[in-house]
Amino acid sequence: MEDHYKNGNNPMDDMLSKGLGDYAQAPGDEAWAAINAGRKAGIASSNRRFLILRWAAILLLFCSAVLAAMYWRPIQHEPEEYSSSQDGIQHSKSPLKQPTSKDSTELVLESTPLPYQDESDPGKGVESFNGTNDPRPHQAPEKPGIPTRDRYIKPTRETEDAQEDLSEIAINMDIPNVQPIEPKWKSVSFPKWFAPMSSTTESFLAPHKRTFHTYAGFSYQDARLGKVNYQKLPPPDAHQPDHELYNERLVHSSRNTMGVSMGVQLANGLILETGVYQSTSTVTQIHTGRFDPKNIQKLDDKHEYDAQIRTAGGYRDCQVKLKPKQPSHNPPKPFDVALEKEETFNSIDIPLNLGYGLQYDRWMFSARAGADLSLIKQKDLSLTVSEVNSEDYDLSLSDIELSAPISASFKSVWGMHGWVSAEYRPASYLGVQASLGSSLEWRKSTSNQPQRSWRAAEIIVKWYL
Amino acid sequence: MRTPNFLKIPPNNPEKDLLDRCLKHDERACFEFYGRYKDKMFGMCLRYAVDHNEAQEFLQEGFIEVFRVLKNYRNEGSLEGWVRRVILNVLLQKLRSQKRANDPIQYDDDLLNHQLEDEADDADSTIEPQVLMKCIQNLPEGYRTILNLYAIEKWTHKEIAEKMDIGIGTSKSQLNRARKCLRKELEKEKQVYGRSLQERE
Repeated sequence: MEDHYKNGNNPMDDMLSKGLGDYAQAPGDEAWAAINAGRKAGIASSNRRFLILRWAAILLLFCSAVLAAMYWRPIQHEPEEYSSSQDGIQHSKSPLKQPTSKDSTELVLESTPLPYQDESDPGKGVESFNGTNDPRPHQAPEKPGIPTRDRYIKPTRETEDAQEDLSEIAINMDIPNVQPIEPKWKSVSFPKWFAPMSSTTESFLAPHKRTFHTYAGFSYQDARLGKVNYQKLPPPDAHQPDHELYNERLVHSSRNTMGVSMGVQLANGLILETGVYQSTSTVTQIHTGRFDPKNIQKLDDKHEYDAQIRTAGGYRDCQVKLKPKQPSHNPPKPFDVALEKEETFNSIDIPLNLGYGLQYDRWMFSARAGADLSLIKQKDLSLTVSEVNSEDYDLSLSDIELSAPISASFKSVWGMHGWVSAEYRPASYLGVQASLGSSLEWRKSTSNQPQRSWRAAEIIVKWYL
Repeated sequence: MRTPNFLKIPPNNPEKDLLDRCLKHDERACFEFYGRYKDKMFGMCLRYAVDHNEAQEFLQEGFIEVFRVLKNYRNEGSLEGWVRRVILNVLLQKLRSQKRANDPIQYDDDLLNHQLEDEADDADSTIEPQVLMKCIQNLPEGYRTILNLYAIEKWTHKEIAEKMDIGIGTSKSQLNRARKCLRKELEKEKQVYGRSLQERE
């Protein structure tokens, strides 16, 4: 029936289509006013959304940059004191008094112009004591005080002594051209909004004015091996193998960790955190060494070489069996060999972290450090001959046999770690935290197991209780 | 030889200029754009609405959506067709959200006992559009919507069923009932129209 009258074949449909298909009628004038108002509201809403997204993106980039900088920055040596030879001040006739830790001017002295320098013109004061003019025109002001971030503090006996020393040094300097001393440490001044958590949390967490917040969270970590430090010690059993394959080259590493974390966040910014995690890690390395055929153990179908390699579970003996291309009882010449080792571990980790966080509204930036106890079990160890630099052997028919099976027991390993994190709280009960960090498996020095460091990224979804 | 696209000089297209200005939120351009299509679009809204006020509501919400998604127009097909589709989608969504279009329609079947085949004889193509519009607006909402979509927008039952979230069979049966119902309405209007003519005479 429908097909018979399909879309217009019905006379009533035709009538409707012809009569009303192009029907047009002017709407009321008020329609445009409503449309225009709705249109403008839509633009404003869209712009607002765009602005929010843009600022979120900028903030995210900033946080990522800060975290990345903190994470990847190479270790810096502490700045030298300004009496170093670079500054030319080593010619001073009187030794510089070293600021003590309780001396509050320690930072200020380096971050602000020297007392005899004109603040408005940093070069002025320097030029005038270059030895050609009056050596003592620039007396320190009567009550100069010590300039700090918070204007001036009243000079103490110690600071006055320090000032006198500095003035004396400056007067007695024998330097033809002294460049203005650049501040080496900038005094850190946080913007107002970057205040400690205790004062700012109230805006976002107003309904929860408490002295601490507890949370529970689900954590996921992804890590890569950073460095492996093997002990420079002989194998514990003093067994000297025929072939040592200790030259390791890292090919691949991964560690995936999941677990539950819980913590307390105090109002003064301190964070105490713990949890239970389960992780699986895989490390693939290439070991290279040189085989001397004079040590062939068997010379039948396959030539068998005894070798020893280092693993995370200690030194392991193995037999490398190589098939000669042509049956011969004449041992070949010495040759290089490469073995690929893949180790898989399971572990249960219990960390304990102490940290400090600064919160601004919904964002919190924190640094945490702590120790963890890991119960590690070697799950799998596989060895394959990846390369034989000899034309006498057929690589495809090679084989390796471990002299003993891997241990199935858990071993406890202590670790240390540090994290820097940024957390966003979309709601007062919910937080999403992204972190970058590194950890070091800390083993006893007498152990033949390697110390390994990991670089990790972590994301935690937190529920505030 | 076919001219490569990048060598083609774009013709001076006033519609594109208008669109560009609308995309820059030029109020005058938006008003001009609205002026171009408002009458036809309001005519369409009237067909789906129960009265003038509801039609104006559909038109307003439809045009607000048109301006919101104007950046998505890809210059494929006519702009008028695109505007019509957007507004139609908005009003159908609104009808669905009001849950009136899909409500079970109570209509006295005794009034609709005419055979469909008879419709062809009586269909009067000379009916004034205003009268036809009034008859359409008097139909129950479900009938009106399906009759509009099928007879005027030329949608298939499958498309109607998908859009209105009903079965294809329901769409077919409601179309048949809508036709019968419209016929009834037209008869009523004819009687009223005839009586008023007699009174004038």
